[in-house]
Amino acid sequence: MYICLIFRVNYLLLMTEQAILIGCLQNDASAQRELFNRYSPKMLSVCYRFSQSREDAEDMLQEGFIKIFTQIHTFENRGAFEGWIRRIVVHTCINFLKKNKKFNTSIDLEHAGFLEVKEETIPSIMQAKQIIESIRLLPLGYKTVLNLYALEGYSHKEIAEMLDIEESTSRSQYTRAKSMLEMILIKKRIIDRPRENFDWVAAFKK
Amino acid sequence: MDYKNYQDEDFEQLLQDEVKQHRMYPSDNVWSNIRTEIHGNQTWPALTFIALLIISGLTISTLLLSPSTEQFKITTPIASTIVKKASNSLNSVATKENDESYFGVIEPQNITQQTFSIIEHDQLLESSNAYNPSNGKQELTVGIEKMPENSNKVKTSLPISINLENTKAIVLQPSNIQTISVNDESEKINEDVNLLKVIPTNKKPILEDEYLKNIVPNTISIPWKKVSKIGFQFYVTPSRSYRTLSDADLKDFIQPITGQNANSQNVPLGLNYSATVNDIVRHSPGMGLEIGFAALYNISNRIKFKTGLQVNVRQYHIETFKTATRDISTLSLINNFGIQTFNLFSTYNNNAGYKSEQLNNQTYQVSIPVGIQWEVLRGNRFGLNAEASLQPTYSINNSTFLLSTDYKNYTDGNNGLLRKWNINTTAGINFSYKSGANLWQIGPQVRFQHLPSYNNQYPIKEHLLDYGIRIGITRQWK
Repeated sequence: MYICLIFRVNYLLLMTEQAILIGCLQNDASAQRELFNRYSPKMLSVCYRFSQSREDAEDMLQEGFIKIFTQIHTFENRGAFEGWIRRIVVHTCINFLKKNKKFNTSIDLEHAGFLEVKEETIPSIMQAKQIIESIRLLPLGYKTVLNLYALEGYSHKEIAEMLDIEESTSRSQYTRAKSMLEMILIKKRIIDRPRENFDWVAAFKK
Repeated sequence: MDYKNYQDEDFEQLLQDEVKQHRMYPSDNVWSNIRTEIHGNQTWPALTFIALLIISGLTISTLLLSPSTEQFKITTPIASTIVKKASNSLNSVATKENDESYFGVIEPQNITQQTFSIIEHDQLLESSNAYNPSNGKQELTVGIEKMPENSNKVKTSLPISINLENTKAIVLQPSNIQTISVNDESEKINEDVNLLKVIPTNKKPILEDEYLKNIVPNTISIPWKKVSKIGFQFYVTPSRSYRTLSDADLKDFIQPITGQNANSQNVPLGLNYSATVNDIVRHSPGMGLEIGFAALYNISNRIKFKTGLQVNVRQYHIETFKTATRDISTLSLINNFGIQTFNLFSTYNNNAGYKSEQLNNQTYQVSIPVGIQWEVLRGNRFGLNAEASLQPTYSINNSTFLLSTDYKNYTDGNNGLLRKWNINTTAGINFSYKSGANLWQIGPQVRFQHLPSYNNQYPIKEHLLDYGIRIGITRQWK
């Protein structure tokens, strides 16, 4: 009975998404609005991680959805619709950063020690937001690679192609980004300092 | 989430787990920009249409009402007859017949050589016969004031072919002739609108008071047919029905209270961010219609009082989703004792469902328009008038759907909340064309409903707004 109910709910959601997709293919404004309402909160969060400010994030989101609506006919019903949307938004973010030449502002890991992070105790409910804010503190190059590799699931090879860099550069940038992020999270008391006998062991505060 | 003792490879998992549930809500203008980019600027066709109508109407009326040379010509048969006789007896000089000189056109009061040439036309001679009192075609009283015997003025020798003994007035049409200059004996005849006067021999332009005192006012007595002050009008107005929605009461009074236990009340998406009801609903305008019959009473030459009976059909469309199950729809109402919440069942969901559905929000109304019609421009056939009316309106039947106060569902609107009596205002401009006894009218009209469609308990205020083209025919009561 319970399984039937779940199946029914999934079926209804699937049909609704299909109806939205058909509406968007017909360039129907209300269907587009529905699609925007449904996915914009998640996608804005993605954009926010890549961007320097909320304004930039909204610009990225806007460009991304315009691409989605104008290229929706290229969507083949083989994969998840959300995954397709997410890929377009991520590529839009990368193009936005390239266009504004914001990669030039990247700094070395050694300079990360100068980052001023206020030490504080974060309630667990705020951890997600604090981690995202911590990622945003990273230099742009590090942040971008970390976002693409750790959170969006791209390989270093793909990242290298997207950012026009060497694959080895992507790897090294990611390693440095991870170290820097760990340091920030420790300073913010979101994770504990790793023990001596373990490389990447930390304990999280609740 | 406890991440103690996590290994290096867990770091990505940690980040993914934390970030996965994060949501951010974009500001309203992001969607506006996207929509503008894809669909272009939202236009308001009614404004453009009204502006075009007004401009074209004014242009046409200006062209049609511009002064023509015809209106300055002497065409009144009576005056023409008199002048004709005068010209014959005084041996006036005839000039070229078709000379329409500039001064002749702009100063029609002065009889010039051109005047005499015009009045020699045969048609005028024929028309003079039409004013023979004996023919009975048109009543006419003609007379000349007899000159005092001691007057130093010279009587005109106009051989007017009427009985001077029995008449006291010469009928002249206004703006025909004031001064007649003749060569013979240097006499001048000054004819006012209602007077026929004789110029003194000293050649001075005359208007002496003494003489004027002795003149019996010579009245014109052409019997005009009495025109009725009452007219009747039938009109049809196809319109486009819009609505405005305001949820200020909902945000001010209801949401602060219901928001306290939001988690337990299945709180809608709308409460989670600052979007207004207009951002959440998906409404589109529908076709409406007004049919009415009105009586008009001429208050003055240009202003008419108007009242009658009118039937209105107004509708707009709601885009929603049909659900397989009956959802609980929450209605929070404001009454004297506070907030009262009702739960109703609905199969229309604003957010999700198994298929999309369009609902038609239809309202049928009867109204009594009471207003004024003002004639702005009046030509021979074409004219322009503006009108405005106040309309007490009664809703006779409706097929409405009520948005739940949590914005999630639409329920049946026939639940006692609908306001039966309302007030509407109409304003419009009509371009008129006179065809025989009928006056046809066409023009843009806007109609606004002042009170909300639902009573004061319902916190979402809806005002209906119609833009239409009124087509009407008016006939004067005989």
